[in-house]
Amino acid sequence: MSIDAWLRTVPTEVPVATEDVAALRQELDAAVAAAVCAIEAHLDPDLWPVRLPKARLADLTQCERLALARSAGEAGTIDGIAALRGRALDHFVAHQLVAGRVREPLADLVSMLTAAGDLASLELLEGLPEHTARELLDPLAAAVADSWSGIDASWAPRVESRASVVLADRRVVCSGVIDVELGGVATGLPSVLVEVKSGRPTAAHQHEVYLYALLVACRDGVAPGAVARWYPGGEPSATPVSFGMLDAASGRLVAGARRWLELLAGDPPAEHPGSWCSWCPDAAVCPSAVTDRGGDHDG
Amino acid sequence: MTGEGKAARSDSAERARVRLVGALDGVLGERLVIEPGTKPDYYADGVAVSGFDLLERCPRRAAQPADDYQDSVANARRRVGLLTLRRLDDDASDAPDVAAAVAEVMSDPTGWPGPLREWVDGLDRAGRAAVAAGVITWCISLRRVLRTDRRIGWSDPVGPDRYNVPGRLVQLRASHEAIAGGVVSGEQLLVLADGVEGAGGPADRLRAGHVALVRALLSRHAPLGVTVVSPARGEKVHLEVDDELLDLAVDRVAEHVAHRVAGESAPTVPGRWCAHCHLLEWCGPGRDRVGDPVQSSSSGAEPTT
Repeated sequence: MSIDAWLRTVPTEVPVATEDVAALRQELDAAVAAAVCAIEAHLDPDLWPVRLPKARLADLTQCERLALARSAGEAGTIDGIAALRGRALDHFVAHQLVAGRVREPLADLVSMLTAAGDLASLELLEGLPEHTARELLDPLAAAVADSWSGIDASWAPRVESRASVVLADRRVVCSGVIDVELGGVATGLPSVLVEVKSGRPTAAHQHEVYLYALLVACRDGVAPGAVARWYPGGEPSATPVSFGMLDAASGRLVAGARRWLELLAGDPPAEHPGSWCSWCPDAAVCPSAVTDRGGDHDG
Repeated sequence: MTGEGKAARSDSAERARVRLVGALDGVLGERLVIEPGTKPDYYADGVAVSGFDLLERCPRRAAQPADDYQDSVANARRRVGLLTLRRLDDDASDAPDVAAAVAEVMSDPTGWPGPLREWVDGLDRAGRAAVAAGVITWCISLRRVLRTDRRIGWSDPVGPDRYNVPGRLVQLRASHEAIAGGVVSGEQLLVLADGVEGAGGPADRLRAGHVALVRALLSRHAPLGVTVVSPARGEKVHLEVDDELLDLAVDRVAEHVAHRVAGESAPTVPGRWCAHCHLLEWCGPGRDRVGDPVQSSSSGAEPTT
């Protein structure tokens, strides 16, 4: 099923009452405020507001040491070929939505990365032999064309759409950048979020889109109608938004915020080795690190 | 708006001007004075102060800002976005939606700021698609949070407002996204504040104060208010422009100018920003802050280039 065909199946009704969204937002704020209150005296004042981008919450669920190491890492780095695949997919979807099919995947990606000023990805791409780059990119562009063509302009698709929620008297900010947002306010269509994924499906990916649903609900005061993950070559893996989904995402956010605050206050991070060790800045010095596990990291 | 209100806003602007001049006299003394008969070059010889400059928390970084600007989607989308929103309000356009208006704007760069036009002209189809995608998101996000049918006077993105401080090589620069009303009835400014990780609050208030100050100095009337809009947060915060808000901006401008003229002797305030600071290699306190054991005893010698 293409994205366009799936969009036609999304119910138009708002799935969660706006009063319930407002109440959930208040409960989330109170829970994070309690976590802040418990740790405030032990935290460097410079660290406020504490920032919790989606990627940090994802890192925390994998390995606390990874999360700390990446938060202190150099900006503008890119975590290898798997991450480059993710960037390529994001750009190809944007191209398809705005200008139609990608004709020359390698050249077009270079142009889009250049326009975006993404020098780290460009450097990585330019380091690949041309035939390797084409083998990486051509199937991605074809998959995007198959799944993302024909979306009606009335859906007003937006790429890299931002949503954030500010909590606990502006002490904590959780933020996310949604790969593709469609419909919503002023379109007369349900609000739909799609996360473009290049790796293998994992449970963590589900949690990411549920978090996005929560962030958009807090941002707009209205819950989106549906969230989906899309993997090249597959159908959209969609889930209708429900109060239970938002509530569960809120619970994970509170737990993540509480733990991140504890880590910032000096609590020793737990080490959980896994495939993420391959892109962890601390891998060389971490006694728990495993190497040569390959990676399924994506954007 | 009564004549009394207009006079009060005029008085407020004049008060801010006098306070600014006095504050700069205090921190500059004989420095940054325009020599009679010379044409001032604020960028090369003076200090240009933007709203973002005022948010810098480390004086050393303020004094030696990174020169890392590059044309990119992120740096172009606001300007092309404003052109798009102006096009949508233009009766001569029949663009049915934002995407169509973006296409119209990008196919006709007449009247664009020169450097922006040159950059976009140099992009191929895919590069232009990247720009268009960023602009569409920017415009729709802004319209979503405003949720109003009322026409707004979107700003011309040709450049920021510039106020040259009389007799000084100091220029204040500020940008707003839109303006409603006029000097007689009172102006309402709209400012976008949307760093994805931004929390709003004091930083937004400072930006609003700076924009209001520059507008007040240029029009000789303080605006009525500034609305700070964050599409990412879904927030729209209205701030009334009063003497307190203008004073906040004046004080911060003076403090920032003092740091800028201090140059390499400006003090360091280590913080979370040190990890990504362009001066880290030469900054001992910054290295201590980020816990670099090898270099933490560095003397903090300055870069020579």
